[in-house]
Amino acid sequence: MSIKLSDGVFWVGAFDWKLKNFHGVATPRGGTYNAYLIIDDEVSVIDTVYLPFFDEFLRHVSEYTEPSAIKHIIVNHAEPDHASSLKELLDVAKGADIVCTSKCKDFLTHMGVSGRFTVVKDGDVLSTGSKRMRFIEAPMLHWPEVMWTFLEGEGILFPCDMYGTQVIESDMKAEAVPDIESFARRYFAFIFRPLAPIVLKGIEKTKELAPKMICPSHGPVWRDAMRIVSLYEKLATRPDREKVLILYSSIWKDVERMAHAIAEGVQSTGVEVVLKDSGDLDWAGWSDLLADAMESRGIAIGSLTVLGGPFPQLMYATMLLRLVRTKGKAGLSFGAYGWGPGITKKLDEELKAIDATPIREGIEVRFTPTDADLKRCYEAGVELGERVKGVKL
Amino acid sequence: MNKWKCSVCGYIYDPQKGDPDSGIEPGTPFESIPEDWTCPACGAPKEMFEEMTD
Repeated sequence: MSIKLSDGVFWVGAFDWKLKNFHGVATPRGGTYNAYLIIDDEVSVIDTVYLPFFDEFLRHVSEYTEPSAIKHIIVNHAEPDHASSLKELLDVAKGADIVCTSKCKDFLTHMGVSGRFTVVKDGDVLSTGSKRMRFIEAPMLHWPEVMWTFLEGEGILFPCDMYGTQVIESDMKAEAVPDIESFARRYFAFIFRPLAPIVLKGIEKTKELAPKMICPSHGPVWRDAMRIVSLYEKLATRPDREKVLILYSSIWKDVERMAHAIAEGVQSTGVEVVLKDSGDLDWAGWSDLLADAMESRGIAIGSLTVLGGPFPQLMYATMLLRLVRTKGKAGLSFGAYGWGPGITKKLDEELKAIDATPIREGIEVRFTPTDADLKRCYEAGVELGERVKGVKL
Repeated sequence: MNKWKCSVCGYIYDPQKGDPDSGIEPGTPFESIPEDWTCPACGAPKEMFEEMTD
């Protein structure tokens, strides 16, 4: 069923109940592809849906108007989850033009979309009768061709992927999801954290527009627009707190015992710990790992030695953490070897690559940690905890 | 004068060439480009650039 948001403004998107992994973002309660219908003298849609859901989109539109009556297809973003049913829609709405940025026209053309394009620039306005839509170019939020659409009279902002989450709420009400912030956090960590300085510019633009309602392209609609703006601002500036992420790879539990001793040391300082064995991570675990890393002021990584280097799963984790582009964290490496030492030097390089500065020399043990080794681990954990507490904001 | 690389898309700003399409004359060091200049390839703002050192 479609949902009325305001006079002449309707959600006509689709729910993907089976979606559990949104290209790396865990979506345990499914996801949405949002498209919006604007009924006026001339009928417009803002974005479409991922192609497998096109029939559902068309059914939703048909509740209010013949789809053939659509005059303008506003494309905020060319990615397939928003634009892959354009060709099918143009077959139905033969008189419609595609309203988008010049870069978006270029992208869509390369994706095989042909049609009548109306290229718009930042600040251009489309009048459809009584309603006015202003277009705002928003490059790299999160692709270069992205624009936002602002329905001026109603004060409704359609910022595409920005201010999104990924969860189904049957009435499309963000306030009806008690743990909505956990969905925003996962989605932001993966999609927007790497672009944080650009997000802040987008937030400035949003504040100038002062929207009453925000209709993102994923997850529910924000009737309290400023709530999601403030949350995104926090996630783009200082998402971190007194928290340490300990991530390790272990086969015979030697490195795991070290990880646990470090965790106890950190906990003794009152700092929160998240401890993860890379071997236990499934796709949802990898998604949460990014969000945990974003929030942690300290990161400890540990590994056994395989053919002179870290275990590959741990390297995969650090590759992912590079994406989050966190800054100014405290780091600690630990590991075990049998015959060739040097694992922690390699791990320290990984820490530096994610801007987690090692607070001390890594802790390395031969084969299995002794009680004295575990005491060293505990003490290093205390040091890491104290360091994390000392960070001035 | 060092080159600067866009950390978002990999575009490299070469001060010898400048960015004439955006009105940045050849020979302009990265530091002298106006703050509102954006990456000509992807639109990322100036602060997303990293200095390239040999």
